[in-house]
Amino acid sequence: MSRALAFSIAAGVVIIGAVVALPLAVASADVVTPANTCTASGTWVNAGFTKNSTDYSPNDVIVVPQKDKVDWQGHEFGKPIGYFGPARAIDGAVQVHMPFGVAVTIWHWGGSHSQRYSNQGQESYNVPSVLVGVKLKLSGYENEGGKRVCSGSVYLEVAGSKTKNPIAWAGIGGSAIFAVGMLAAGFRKSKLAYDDINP
Amino acid sequence: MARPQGHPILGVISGILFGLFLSVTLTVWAGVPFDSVLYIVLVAAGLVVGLALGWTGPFRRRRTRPGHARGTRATAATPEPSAP
Repeated sequence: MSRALAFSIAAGVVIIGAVVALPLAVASADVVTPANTCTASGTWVNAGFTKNSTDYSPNDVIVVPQKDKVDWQGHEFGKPIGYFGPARAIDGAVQVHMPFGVAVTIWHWGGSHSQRYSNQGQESYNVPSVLVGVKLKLSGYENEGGKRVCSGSVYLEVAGSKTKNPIAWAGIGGSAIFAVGMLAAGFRKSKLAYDDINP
Repeated sequence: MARPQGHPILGVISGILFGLFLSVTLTVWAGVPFDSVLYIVLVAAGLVVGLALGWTGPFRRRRTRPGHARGTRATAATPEPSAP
């Protein structure tokens, strides 16, 4: 499994996942809209913590280890793992949002006659160091028969020292270099004097 | 239309890249989200400032005195040694 896919799955457990709906007695925060239509949870095996989509709001930042294994579960309409219902066409995805409004799909699922309303699994991931300390927006959605069942988003940040992120230093160096370039552009064009051309 | 006094192409390219690198710096060190609209704002601002600097050319190089332009000694300022 590719690194990007593994990362997306690990991240997706806290967004919407494929399917979702833990029966909650108390409606509180939820990264999913409409709340509780879809739910997901993930347990980071090495780090030893569990994250639930119902514990966070879309503006929250979830800090995750750079490398780990995740046991994940996703439910739609609260259906338990192993439940099979009426077949329907499904379509869903998890996306990472980049600058300038670009959204990159890192995980996509679908089917014309899916009977699953829940799913689970375990995935490993190892995020490259260029993403350490970067606040990434992850979003996801699930469609049934062309209609949106649920969607959601949350911010994810990979834990670690920012000083070990090469992009951090490239940003500072590039800023300094091109600031000098801008200032250099502001100097007037110099015309050679007659004496310089005809010594 | 007035002719550019500075170097507008250098200004535009440097301005755009300055805005981009500054956005990346703020993303890592200041916690600005990667999908922030600040990327668009800073790149656009860099473009405008770079173009303005390059077009108007507000900075002047320091003038050199005659005879110092190519590192030669100015003969007029140096008195000839008198004959014994």
